[in-house]
Parts: sequence; C-alpha cells; structure tokens
Amino acid sequence: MDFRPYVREHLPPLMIAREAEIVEELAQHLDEIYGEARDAGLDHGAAFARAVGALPAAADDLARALRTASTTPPGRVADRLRAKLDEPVPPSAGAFPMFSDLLRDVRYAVRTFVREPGFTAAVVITLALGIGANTAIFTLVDAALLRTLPVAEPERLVVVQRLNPRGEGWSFSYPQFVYLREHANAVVDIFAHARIDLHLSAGDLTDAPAGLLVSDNYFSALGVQPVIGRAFAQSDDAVAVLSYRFWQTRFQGDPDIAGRAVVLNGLPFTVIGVAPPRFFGVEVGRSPDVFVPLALCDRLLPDGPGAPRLPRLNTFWLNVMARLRPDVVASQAAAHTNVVYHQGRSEQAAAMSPGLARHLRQQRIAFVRGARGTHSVGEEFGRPLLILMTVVGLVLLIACANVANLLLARAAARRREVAIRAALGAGRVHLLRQCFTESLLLSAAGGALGLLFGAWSSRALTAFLVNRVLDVTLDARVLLFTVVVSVLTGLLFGAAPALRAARTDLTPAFKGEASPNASGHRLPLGRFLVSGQVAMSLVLLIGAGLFIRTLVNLRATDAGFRGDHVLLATLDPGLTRYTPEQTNAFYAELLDRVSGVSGVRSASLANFPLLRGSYVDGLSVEKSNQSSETSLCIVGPGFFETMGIAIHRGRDFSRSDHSESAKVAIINETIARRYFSGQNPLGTHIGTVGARVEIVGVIADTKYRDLRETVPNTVYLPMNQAQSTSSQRTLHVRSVADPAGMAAAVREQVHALDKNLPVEIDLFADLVDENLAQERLIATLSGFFGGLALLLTSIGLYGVIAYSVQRRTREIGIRMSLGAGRAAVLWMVLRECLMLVGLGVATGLTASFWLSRFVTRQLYGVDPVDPLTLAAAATCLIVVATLAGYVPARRASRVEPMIALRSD
Amino acid sequence: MVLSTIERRARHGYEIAKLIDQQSDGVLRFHIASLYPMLYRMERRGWIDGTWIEKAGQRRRRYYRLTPAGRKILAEQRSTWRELLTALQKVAGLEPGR
Repeated sequence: MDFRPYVREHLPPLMIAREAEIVEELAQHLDEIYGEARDAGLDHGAAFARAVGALPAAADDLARALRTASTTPPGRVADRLRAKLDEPVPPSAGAFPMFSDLLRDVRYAVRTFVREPGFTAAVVITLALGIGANTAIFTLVDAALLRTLPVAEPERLVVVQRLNPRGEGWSFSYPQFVYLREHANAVVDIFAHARIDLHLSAGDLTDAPAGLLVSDNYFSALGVQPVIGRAFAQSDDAVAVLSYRFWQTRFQGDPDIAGRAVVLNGLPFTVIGVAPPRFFGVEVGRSPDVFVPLALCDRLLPDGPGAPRLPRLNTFWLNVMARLRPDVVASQAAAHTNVVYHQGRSEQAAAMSPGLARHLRQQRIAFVRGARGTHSVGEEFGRPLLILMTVVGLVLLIACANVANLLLARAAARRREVAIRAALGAGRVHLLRQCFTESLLLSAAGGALGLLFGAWSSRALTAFLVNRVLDVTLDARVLLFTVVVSVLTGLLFGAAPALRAARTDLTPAFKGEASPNASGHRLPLGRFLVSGQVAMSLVLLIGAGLFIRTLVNLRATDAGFRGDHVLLATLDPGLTRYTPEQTNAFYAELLDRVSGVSGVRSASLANFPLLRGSYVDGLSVEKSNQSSETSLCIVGPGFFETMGIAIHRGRDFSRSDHSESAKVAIINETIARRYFSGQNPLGTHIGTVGARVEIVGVIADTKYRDLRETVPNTVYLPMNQAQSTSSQRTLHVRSVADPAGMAAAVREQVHALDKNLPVEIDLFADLVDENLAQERLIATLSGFFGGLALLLTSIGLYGVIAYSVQRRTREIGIRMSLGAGRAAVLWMVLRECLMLVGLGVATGLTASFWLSRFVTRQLYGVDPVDPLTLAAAATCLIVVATLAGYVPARRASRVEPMIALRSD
Repeated sequence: MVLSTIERRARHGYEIAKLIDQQSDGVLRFHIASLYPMLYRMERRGWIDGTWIEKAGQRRRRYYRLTPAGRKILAEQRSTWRELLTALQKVAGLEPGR
C-alpha cells in the first residue's frame, strides 16, 4: 500500500530539497508496519490504524526535527564551533579579567551572528561595498599623491627649479646643469633626467621603448641598486640599464642580460644592468623602459635643426633633482645653489644673446620637496581623485546609516534580551561594550571583505588613467587606512544602537511594550538617519549628473575638426639613422602609397596631431604693434581636408610651397578676428619662429591642446618650409569606412618601405578619449557611486517604513475598524515616507548649493547649480524613494483589521 | 546502538527500528519521530551512508551502511558505554549476569 499521499497530507511541508525522498522513506516505513500487521491477520482497517499510528500526532515537531537534521551543515567543524560557542565561559579570573571579558563578548557576538546569517550577510556586504570603495580610491590617491619614491631616504631628495619672477618653474639647459653639478657639489648631489624616444632592436626583437636620458650619477644619487649588473659610472660609453618590467616582458627575465648587445637608434649599446622591480624613475605615473646616459644624447638624437643639443645655452629641457648632502639643510642648500647659478650665468653670459641673458638674470633657484617625485599624474588626476575620495566617503556614510538602522531595528527586537541581561546584573558599561564589540566585529568583517574588493577594483580603475603606469599594490598605508576606516565605521554605526541599549527601560521591555521615553516604534534616530541618507544621495546624484553632463558636453563640443574616420600613424625614421633628406623622401613616398590605398579618402602629414602635444612661439602681426603667443602646427597639403577643418578664406598649402618659394602661413579665425577686425588678412605678413611669413589662408577655429580650452591663436606652417627639430611625423588618414580596418593596410605600406621602422597606430577617436580621461573617470565613478547610494538609501528607507508599519499594525487595524479606508491608510504611511524624503531633499539641495563651488573647475558647459540637473536628480530620488516606501505602505493598506487587532 | 545494528550489513529504517525493539526485548523502542531525524543527522555527519535499493517485486527502500568514520565512532562509543556500565556496576553494586 502506498502511504505517500497520507504522509504528505499529515506532514507539514519541509521546504527542503530531499523532501520527496523523506516522504517516500516514511511512507515505506508505514507500509512495512501495515504489511506486518496484515500478515499477523489484522484486517485492512486495523492494520491501517496501526501503521498511521506510528506517525506522531505532533507532526510539526517531526517536521522540524527532520528539517534541521537534514539541513545542518555537514562539516563537523561547524558543529564543533557551535558546541564550543555554546559552552559557558569561565568567569573572569587571573591576571587578565579584561581580556577574558572581551573574549566572552566576542564569543557572544559571534554566536549571535551565526544564528542570524541573513542579517549578518546584509550588514557585512553593505559595509564591504562602502569600505571597499574607499580602499580602492585611496589606493589610487596613495599611489598618485602620497607614496614616497621607492629609493633610499626619499625625504633627502629635492626637485631643483628655476623660477621666473611670476613663480613659474623652468627646466634647465645642459651647460647650466653641468655647472651646477660641479660647483654646488658640496651641498647637493645634483642629477638630471629627460625623456627620449628610442628605437630598440636586439636579434629578432624590435620595439619602441620609453627611454630616459639620465646623468651618470642618477642611480647613485637616488640610492637605487640594480637587481642585476650595475648602474652607470662616469667612464661609461654606450651602455643601458633596463627597467625590471621591460627586462621581464621583452627579454623574458634572461638572467644573462648584463653584457648583452642591443641596438638603440641605430647605435650599438651594451646592457649593463636591470633596475629593481618597483623602481619607476622619479616621475609618478610614468615608467621608463630603458635608461641611457645623458652624455650620449646627441649621438642618440637624429641630426637636424636643434642638434647638437647638449652645448646649447638656450634649450631648456632637463629636469633636475638633487639629494641633499648629510647635515645640510634644504633652505641653505637652495640659497647656496642660487648663488652658484648666478655665478655660472655671468660666466656663460658672453655666449648668450641679450634677450636670453636677461631672461636668465631674472630667475632664481628654488628647491621643492622631492620625496614623492615629480608629478604628472598628480597634476592631472589629483583633483578628480580628491573629489572621488569625497564621493566614496559619502557612500560609506550612507552605508553606515543603513547598517545603523538595521542594528536599531534589531536592537528593538532584542530589547527583551538586553533587559534580561541588565536584570541579571550586566552594567551599563558592559552592555555598551557588548554593543560595540558586535559593531566592531561586523565592521572588521566588512573591512576584510572590502579590502579584497578594493584591491581588485583599484587595479581595474587604473584603466582610466590612460597611458599612465601606477603601482597600485597594497602597502602598509592602504592597509592602515582600511583598518582605521573600518574601526571608525564600526564606532559610527555602533553608536546608535549602543546608546539605545544603554537606555533600556526594564519593565516595559519585559512586557514587550514600547518603552514610553524611547518611543521605540517610531525609531526617531532611524528616521533622522534616513533623511540624512536621502540628503547625501541627492548630493551624490547631483554631482554625478553634473559630471556626466560635463562629459557629454565635451564630447558634443564643436572642436572645429571631425576626428571620426581618422587614423593616425606616428613614425620617426630619424631614430633609425635617416638623414633629413632621406626622411623627407621617405614621407613623400609613404604619403603617395597610402593615398593610393583603396578606402582612403585623403591623407596628410603633421608634426603631431591636434590634442596631442603643443608647440608655442611668439607671434607679431604686421601693421599692429601687438605681440603675443601663438600655438603652431606644421602640416602638409591636404591636412585640413583630412581633418575636416573648413577653409574660410584663401587656400590650402600645396606642393609648390617648398623651401625655395615665398614663406606662407595659414591662420585661424581667432587671429583673424583679434588682429584684423573685419579686414582681409590675406597677403599680410606675420612674424613667428623668427621668420616673416605671408598669410595665404584663414581656417575655422579648432581646439588645439584639449577640448576644454578656449581656442588659442593658431598658426599653421607648411611642412616643406618649417624647420622641425624632430623627424617624427604623424600620418593622418581619413578613411571611407571604419578607420580601424585601415590599420593593417597602413602598417603594410610603412613596412614595404622599411620593414624595421616601428609605427604607432592610433585612432583619432581614441585620442579624444585619452583627452577626456579625467572627465570619464569622474563621470563614470560618480555615476556608479550615485547609483549605489540611491540603492542603499532606498533599502534604508524601505527598512524604516516597513519596520514602522509592522510596529503600527495594531494602530492601523484600529483605524481601519473605525472606518479608515485603504487609500487613507496608504496615504498615511506614504506621507510619513514623503516627509522623510522631503526633509532629506531640502537638506541635500542646500548642501549641493554650498558644495558646488568646489567642483566648478571640473565642469564644462554646465552651471554648478544647473536647475535641470538639480531637478532631475531630485525627481529621480523622490520617485525611487516613493517606490521604496510604497511597498510597505501597500502592505499596511491590505491589513485585515481583525488580524491586526490580535497582533502585537 | 543504531550504528551497531548496521555494523555487519546494510539495513533499512524499519528494519533498524524492529531490530532494536527485538534485541532489547521491547524495552527500547524507536519511533519515527526520533529514528529518521537521527539517521539523517548521522548521514550528514558522514557516519552512515544511505542508498536506495530496489529488489525485484518490491518498492525501493533506503538502506543504510556504516562508513569508516561511523565505524570509528561506534568503537569510541562502545568503549564509553563499557566504561559507564562498569562504573554503574561498581556504584550500584550490580553484578553482571545475575
């Protein structure tokens, strides 16, 4: 006989996976009894009665026992842990009563958490999100702004600057550096570095590593010991030191690297050493691959105008730093170096033009602290990172408020337990300590998880720092930060329930009533916290809105050119020993070949693309005695067509603008407007780069260095007439279809001419992205954190309203039985929710007005108190918050009055 | 006790209950309410292993077998019981076999 239907009917649902099996097994058991009874001669009725009699009448208990028996974790470790936790703790004795008390508190707390896994998980995950976000951003702040260089005694390092009367810092010429190094040697060990473009080949390997020219004392002054081989010595000739990463990736960590021959820019070099793994030079955010001696500069650089560079008095290109000698104070050393500088200036004055001599005379030497190196990342990303730090700080506060609310609700539910403990003699201090132990344990767990989360996401975040290399490994400072944040977080969210617990009034708690003074069912503190959350979320949402609109505005801004469909190929044949004539011939040939490729609409050359690099010189305009600065572009014929820049007047450059013909230039509208106010500028002459040139065309205004700037004076000079100091050019290719598809074809054309020439291919669109790296970083992250804040806040709001509805069930029941309609109840609850939100929105708006001044510089094309953004953010928040409140409100309106009256 | 019933061969739940009932002359009786939760708990702890076995002409039954871990526990418990019994005998002045 099949007893399964009977068992299923009489056993409450178990709600576990193997329920069917259990039912079958029990049914089988009953069947055995039945079969045996029948065998013993009983009739069906009696046998059936005996069988079902085996199933206990209290089926609930059986169901519970079955459920726990089959769902307890299988691990005996867990059983043992639980058993251990349930053991009574011996009363505090011996030398460390404090310690054993603490241990007891910890065990008590852990036991409570194990019993409430859902609550514990919710709290820990909320905290991990908040703390993790802070750790991630702080890791970047630390790496970009706070960390000292991984060198010996970084605090003894200074950056040496030449300041003009306006306080602007200048770099140094090589003769200046040599003079300072020789004559200020008693107080400082001065060293210099400068970037250089390199082309490396070694066997089958060809690459274009990031090169750094360094003075021979660079490594010794920094106190950096190579991990393999040695650093530079004064007697060194053509030798190079590799970065650890370059050695690992390009030479597969070859242990015999020292002594290996490589070719750099066509010259034979010997590798003599490998720098330590974490050493990245002194410029934070950059990471040179190959270090070469400064003295070899002129042999490494291509011939051409500007060469040789080393003896030049008027080329300022070296970054100079110094290590203070022992027992020397920075201010004295700076004063002494300043004297030496002016001494050198007067000694070299005979060889200078009067203008240069005057320029140098006005300047003085200053030292800036160099422990953290020089900052390229800090300048660009410092402010955005600080804004983001504030953002994640707010997110953490919101998370704290959420957790505090959860704890408050739980504390209200645990009032009886706390009262019992108080009645049994637990003092107020003890109860407080217990509360804080719980909070700190939760925040420690959240912090540990947050650290993992932060370490992982900071690595992902470095993707936003385009072309920058940052060492984001966890260090002691990040660890300390996370610990401190976790502890503060624990104290912050733990304060609310702790104070509540300490105030517990015994009698009403035992009766299960709300204590009259704490008005427990309304959670006044909880409501305050929720309003605060709403306010902070609104601030974050408004911020996110402003930053996103900034990014959108910048993307939509009319830059004057059309960069979509443009592919860039950057080459430098000079690095592989081309003479200037060979270089020109090479480019002419390449341009012809690429223009012939199918799918190419037009192609042209420029010394560098717009938005990357700048070349500024003086500008003087004929018939107007004004002079000012101008940005320069050196371009070939067809550049404006390729970049989609409109020619407003005159003509484009052509092949007939060569070195023998009349010198010509094209100006932008800004110059035309500023200096020719309505007159025709064509045919007029301007002076720039030391030459007089005739204006033959006027083109539309375009952005030059970045998308934010107001368009500068821009003068375009034809490539065949301009003397360029570098042989590097960028080939611009406008394609008919997707430009990325042209990359292979362009590379093929370059390699058909010279298979050893490295070529760097970019899309102009990527250049725009790179240019907007900062804005993308802020917009993306503030958007993400704004969303997170909104989510946390709506959860918090839902929690508080749901809790209040639950506590007011009886009241709602009474109201309804007295005739209040469902709509009235719905509105009553919703009104409570809206009041909290309204208060929060008002506070948030006020705070936003006040805070907006700090982000004005970060915005573009949008007012910091832009009404549209404010309204959108507030509406979004109100809608989401109302939804969060609507769910419990609806539940309240569905309450059956009779059931409600019996509850509580 | 339950473990000892399946020491030699695998048995199903009803058989275990019946065996204990018979071997203790009806003094010890296991009800469904205590037997099956206990079996499931021991199974979770890895002391016993239950498998469905179908024999010709019968509905399938769940047979429980002792695992090596269960064997160890059984040995431990046997010695504990033995010690307890010895102690009881000494204290209460019971003589075995009388």
